[in-house]
This record gives sequence, C-alpha cells and structure tokens, in this order.
Amino acid sequence: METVDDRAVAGASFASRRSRQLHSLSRAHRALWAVILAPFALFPLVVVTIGQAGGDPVSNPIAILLYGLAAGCLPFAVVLIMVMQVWARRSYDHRHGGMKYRLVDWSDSAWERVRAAFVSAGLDPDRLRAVSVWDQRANLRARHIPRPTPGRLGRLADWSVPRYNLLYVAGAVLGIAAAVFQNDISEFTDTPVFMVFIACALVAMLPFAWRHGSRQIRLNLRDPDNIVIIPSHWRPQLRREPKATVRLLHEISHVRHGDPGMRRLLAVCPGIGQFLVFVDAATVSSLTANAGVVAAGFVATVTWGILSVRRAARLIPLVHELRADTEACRDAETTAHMVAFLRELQARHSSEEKALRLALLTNGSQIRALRRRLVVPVAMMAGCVLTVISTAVGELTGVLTISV
Amino acid sequence: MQGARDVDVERILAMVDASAAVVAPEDREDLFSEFAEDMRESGRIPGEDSALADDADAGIADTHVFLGIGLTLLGQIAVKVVSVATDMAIERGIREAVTFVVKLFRGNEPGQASPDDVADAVTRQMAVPAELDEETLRLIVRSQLEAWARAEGQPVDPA
Repeated sequence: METVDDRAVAGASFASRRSRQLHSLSRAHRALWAVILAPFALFPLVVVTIGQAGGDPVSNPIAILLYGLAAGCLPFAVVLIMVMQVWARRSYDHRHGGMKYRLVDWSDSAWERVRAAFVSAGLDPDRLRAVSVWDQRANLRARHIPRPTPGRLGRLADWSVPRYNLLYVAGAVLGIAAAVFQNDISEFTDTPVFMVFIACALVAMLPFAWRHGSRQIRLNLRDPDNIVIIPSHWRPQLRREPKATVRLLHEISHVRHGDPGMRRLLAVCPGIGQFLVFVDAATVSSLTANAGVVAAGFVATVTWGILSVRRAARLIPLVHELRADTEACRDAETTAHMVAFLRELQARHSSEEKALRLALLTNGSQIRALRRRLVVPVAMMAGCVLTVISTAVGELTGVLTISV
Repeated sequence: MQGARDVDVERILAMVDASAAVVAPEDREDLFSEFAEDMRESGRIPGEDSALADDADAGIADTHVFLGIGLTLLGQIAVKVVSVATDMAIERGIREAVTFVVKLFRGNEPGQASPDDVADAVTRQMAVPAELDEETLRLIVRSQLEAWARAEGQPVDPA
C-alpha cells in the first residue's frame, strides 16, 4: 500500500535521477561539440608550426600571433559564409513559400489547459512562440526561422536565393575562363591599374560584407528565432488531453536549447572539420622520418579524426532528443505517457533512435551501450589531437624535423 | 483543385462538415471554421500540400504520427468522391452527377450502383491511410454523398 511518504520518496528519487541525467547529457553534448571543433582549434597551431619549422621562420612573436589568429578565423569564416547561405534560403522559403502560419495566442481560453501545464512546468507561456499550420503529413516540430537582415542587404539576399544556381554557374564559368585565358589577359591584369581597381573594389565591398555578416550573427546565432510548429490536426489533442502536453514540452525543450538552430551549424561544421583533420595531420605527414612510420601515423591520425567527427555529428541530434525527453518528463505519469507514445511508434516503424530514447526513459539495459557510443568519438579525437599537438610541439622545439 | 469555383468549394465544405460530424466531431468543433476560411481563400484543401521539409527541424519522432481522421483527409476523400461519382454518372449516360447521387440512395433497380460502390472506387483510386478501415470509409462516403445531394437540393448558405 503506497503511502504519501512512499510517493514523496519516489518523486524525490525520480527528480534526482532526472537531474543527474540532464547533467550527464549536457556534458555529453559539450564533449561531442568539442570533438567537432577540435580540428578548428588545431588549425592555427598547425599553420604556425608548418610556417615556422618548414623553413620560413618569422622571428617577431607578435607577427606569429597575428598570423595564427588570422589562420584560426579562416575556417570559422568559411563556416559562417556557408551557413549564411542556408539561412538566406530558409528565410526566403519561410516568407515566400506560400504556407500560412497562424501565431498561437496562449492567452486564448481554448489553450487554457496547455497553458496551465506550462506554468506547472516552470515555463513562461508568454515567451513561448508557436505557430499552427495546415499540414497533414507533418508532426509536431521545432524549427529555426532565420531572420533576414533589415534593409537593402536583406532584399539583396532575398534576390539572390532563387538565383543561387545561376550565380554559382556564372562564378564557375568566369573562374575557369580566367584560369584558361590567364596568359592572354595577363598584360591587362599585371598592370598597377588593375591592382588598384581590385583593391578599391575589395575596400568598397568589405563594409557591406562585414555589416551583413555581423547582423546575421546577431539575429540568427546569438538570439535565434526557434519556434514550435503545431500542425492544426494536433491542436484538438493537445487542448483536450493534459497528458499529451508532454509532447509539446518535448518540442519546447528543443526550442529553449536552440537545437534546430544548432542543427544548421551541424550541417556545415563536420564537413569543414573533416577537411581540417586532413590538413592538421600535415604535422605528421611532413615529418622527416621512416616513411613507413610517417605514413602509418598519418593514416591513423586522419582516420581517428575523421571517424570521430562523423560519429559526433551523428550523435548530437540523438543527444538533443534524449535531453528533450528528459526535460519534458517531469514525473512518473508523464514519463509513462511518453514511453507509451514511443512504444506505439516503435511498433509501427522501429528505429534505433526510438529504442535508445525508450531505454533512457525506462532505465533499460541499452544505457550502457549508449554511454560507450558517446565515449568512443571523444576517445578517438583525443588520440588524434594528442598526436598532432605532440608532433607540432616537437617540430617547433626542433626535436623533430619536417620537410615541406 | 486548381482555381476551384466557389460552388465547388462550398460543396466540398458541406461534405467535409457532414462527414466530420460523424467521424471527427472534435476536429470539426475545433478547426472547421479555420479550415473553411483557408479553403475559401486559397481554393485548395488546407494541409494537402506539405510544407517544405527542413532538415534542421527537431521533430517529435522520426515516424509520422497518425492522429485520427482529420479535416484534410476528409477534404481529400470528398474531392475523390466527387470525381468518382461524376465518372460513374458519365458512364451511365447521366449528365448531372447529383442526379446519379440521388439515385444511389434509392436503390430501386437491380445492378444499380450503391454508395458502397463509390467507396470501393475511392479506395482503389486514392492512397487511403492504413489506419482508416473500410467500414469507416464507407460511412464517410455515405455521409458525404448525402450532404452533396442536400446541398444541391437547397441553396447553399456560405456562412
């Protein structure tokens, strides 16, 4: 016979287990992002090492520092440019895609029960943005809506979105033509007039590029607009059944942590990261040592690095889902509802992601396997980073020699 | 349903209203006014076109969640019922589809089509979700045909 004390104890142990899970999931999330960003962090070290030890040493430490900083910013600039194109396209599609989005008014009496569930979960309903849309084939989801830069720069970005392919092809054609005909036009391009023209064009364009880039960072990275999209056919269920609100809380957890916005970065960063692993391993590949040892070391470093970045990129969305589940299920009752919901979906269409989510919610046996999966990329990247740093330090201090 | 005429839109709305009253009363109570408003504005069934999929979306599950028969599905069934009934009427040499629909419910002659035949034709021609069983579909088609006949027999009130 369960007494009030028993229930209180069960509640307290549930709460402590939940907060422990949230802590370890946050740690896992940070570790996986560190794996993806490690090649970015190593890049300036590698550039400076190859520059210094490769036979063109600069003696001024300030120059070395600036050189390293510039090299360090370059990969992030590439990521930013690629992500800004994605933002421009998604923002354009959202505003001109023809879908009619209705803003949800939480103070409407029809949403009373849902609002009460938010308040009891400690959330402020007035800060939760949600829209409803007619879309039969859609599930409840959280989406990042990129904001356009206000003014003419934003309109120019909108103009370019439908013409992306045209612009790419034009750029490729011009580039190839310039390369093919470079001898023919060299008498024109080698003149100081042309250099001055190029310099002036760059100086004129840079302020606009800087302004657009910094505005986009402020609008879409620092304070992104993540909203919950509620398909209209979900509304009756959410309003009538308080237990179904746990699904909405799952999406709101995604919104609070900015998961959809982060996934846009996740579409770009791992690709650049894998390329940087290859570049960073130059400290190993350029060593003057036994060719076999160098080759083996290079292959090992590159393999660890690339595999760990790929795994981390695949695991981060899973960690997002696990964290959202844990945050949404605040007591045993809501957990039971979420478990039933996932089991029903799993029965119809089984997937590993749902199995792992169920395991975490029910404390199933797969949790240990999940922990191992989360540790593997961290361990592999640690090996890669150690190799690169140790060879770089060796080369800088003269212990190892390189031939570039 | 490109550029549907007002009469067609009102007919579909009447059919959806009637069938929703039978199989999806909560949806009807909650959403029908919005459904009607959007359909009158665009001339298309709301929800039929899927929003552009965004890979960065964080969805509740990787599988589509079927939440019961919704107004969009009823609208799609209604459109298909109208097209099937019109085809069957033309086959039998009847010019006005609504005359054929009225005859369906009389069931006088042998070899006469019945509303269930229309339902079977709809199942064959349309991808009906697996969760919708045959009995419910026949009920929906029957109520929609009745609503169609009623709507044509009296002036439609576009409230």
